[in-house]
Amino acid sequence: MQILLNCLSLTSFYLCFALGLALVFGVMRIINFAHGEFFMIGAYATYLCISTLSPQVGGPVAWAIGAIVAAAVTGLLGLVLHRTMVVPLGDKPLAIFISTLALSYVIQTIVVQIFGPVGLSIAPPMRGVVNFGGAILPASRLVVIGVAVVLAAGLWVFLMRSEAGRRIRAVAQNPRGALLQGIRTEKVGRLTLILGSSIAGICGAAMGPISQISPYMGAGTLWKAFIIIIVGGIGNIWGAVAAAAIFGVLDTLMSQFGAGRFLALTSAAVMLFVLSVKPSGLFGEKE
Amino acid sequence: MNMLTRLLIAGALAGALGTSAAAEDTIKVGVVQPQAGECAQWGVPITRGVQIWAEEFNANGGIADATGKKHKIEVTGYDNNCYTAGDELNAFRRAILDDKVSFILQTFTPASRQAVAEITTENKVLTTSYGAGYLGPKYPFLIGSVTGSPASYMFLVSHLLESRPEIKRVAIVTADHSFGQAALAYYKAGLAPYLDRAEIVYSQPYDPASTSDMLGLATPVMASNPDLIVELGFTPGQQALFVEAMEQLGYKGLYGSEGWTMGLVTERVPAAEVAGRIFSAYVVDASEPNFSPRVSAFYKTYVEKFGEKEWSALASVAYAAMTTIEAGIQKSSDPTGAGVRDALFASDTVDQPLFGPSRWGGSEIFGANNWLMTPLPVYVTDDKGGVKVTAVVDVAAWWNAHKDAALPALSEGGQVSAK
Repeated sequence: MQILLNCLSLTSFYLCFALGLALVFGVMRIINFAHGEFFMIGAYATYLCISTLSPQVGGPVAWAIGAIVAAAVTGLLGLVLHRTMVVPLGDKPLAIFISTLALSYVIQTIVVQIFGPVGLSIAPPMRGVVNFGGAILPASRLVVIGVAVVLAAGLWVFLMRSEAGRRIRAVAQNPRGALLQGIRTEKVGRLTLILGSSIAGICGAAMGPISQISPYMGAGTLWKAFIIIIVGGIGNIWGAVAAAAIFGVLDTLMSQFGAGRFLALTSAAVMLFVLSVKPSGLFGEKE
Repeated sequence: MNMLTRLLIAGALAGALGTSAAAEDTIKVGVVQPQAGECAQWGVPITRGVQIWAEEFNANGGIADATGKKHKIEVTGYDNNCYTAGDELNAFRRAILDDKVSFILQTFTPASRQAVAEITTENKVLTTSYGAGYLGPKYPFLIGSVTGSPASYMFLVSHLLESRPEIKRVAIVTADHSFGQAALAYYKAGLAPYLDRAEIVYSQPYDPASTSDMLGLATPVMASNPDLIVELGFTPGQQALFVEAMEQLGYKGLYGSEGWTMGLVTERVPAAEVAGRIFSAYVVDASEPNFSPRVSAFYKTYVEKFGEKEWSALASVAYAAMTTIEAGIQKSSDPTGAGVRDALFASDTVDQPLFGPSRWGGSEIFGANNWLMTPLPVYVTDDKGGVKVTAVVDVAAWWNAHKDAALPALSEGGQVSAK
């Protein structure tokens, strides 16, 4: 039972982080290398909120405020990224990739200057554990699972049921066709980047209390997110969900049965295998 | 030549001579450690520790050599990209060839030390560490100036087994990288004399990337039902997360590691719950006020400069390692790498400024007595999240008594280079 809960917990970690990246890549076909830093900014925003507001309003409320602030700050960063890099560089995905890589270093350096290079710890807003048939799940991990589920479900409802979501799907499927139908693709791109960045910020808020936060935490997480969206099918959100579950189970079982040292190797091998038999990923469509 | 020109030339010459004299008087020290990135949480406090050591002397005009001449100490930090061997060598090249440093403090990590063994020897740059790793007769300028990593792991776990006969099951949690592998071997060596009454129930190394899921990592450790968990490889924040996960899983046993940042642990687990259960054996932990007045004063300086939240015992480890170099400079009339080495190795023992008389050792492991076996304080946490000294291990005596049992385990772990 504990192993099952660990699988669920790890899947939610992976999903939470990969969702925003999958959305941005799926719609805009650009790799936002600063996505990891937006995640990190979300965690630091939450750290500031919890450390300053917690004595007055209590941990859970301070965390909730932190998550809202994280979403707002990273959404704003997404808007700035869109205005200053994505629009001016237009249809040059390599140039956008390199400029977001540069942006990630800029953000890291700024955070190092403000908070120092030494990692910080966010006091868990919710303590205690929940028992499930002899196994345990810490309350702070339940929050991550809840956030991942709400984000995935919310994104599904937004994409499938709202007018803005329909426009986003149209652009993701065929940008030129969407343009010919009168959809303002630039506006859709802006909304997507704001949304994807905010999701990264919320994930930082959710995962900060259960992991050490540092200026470099984003870069460490990003590689796994890339593997997940590649295996799931680049740009396919439901593929990302499936791949997060695959790696959540695989990584948990490997750690449990003494093969933890081969996690990175196995992840890379799985990605290469999937690419070799289905280059578009498990749930991706041929371009 | 008019008067003004002559004055300018005289001034320029005087300036040049003055600069040259000042350069000769300055002792240059390099600290090769991670200065950025995730591992900076180790490297930055270590660098600060050496800087404060230098500032203590510089505030009084410098460090006096055997002739009484004072030398200012200049400390420069060099980044090794999280202990990557190739970057370690690049940093050494910059420090030695460009900046002409005479002394370097670096990691004990065997792979990193191996990478720089030749360059330090060729250039006679005395290179020390807060422990002993990759020493050997071919590399006389590579030394270990205190009992620190990785040997301290051996002494810590053996002390716990010796003082706590109720420990029957030991889990070893180490990362799958060079210093994690060294730690695993030294932990096993420390347990070797007691394997008739205790067993190793877990020793699977983990991928450092997997530390983002601490519950997944802790679950199999808990399943092995240990009485004592010794770890090496987590960052301070990860250590706190690991303790939190183990406590959530219901663990009630002991923890041991090189050191713990208790401020981070007690943010997650109440200090009273882990009081008396978390042990460490850093070279010295300056936050403990009673072991040495000098290191205690160092702690106060560090906290005044950088704040209590920035404190890491690694700073005092680096400080302690430099005090051996300090003893060598003070005994030498030629404070270069070669001169200080000669002074330090003039006899079998060094009157170490913090630990007192300590013997050179290590020949059975490394084939050369280039490791100063200083006594090792063992610390335990109290109910306020502080630490206190619970014992001081006589390292040389322990090694004489148990080396026959320990050496095969070290050899099996690839740590013995003596022929």
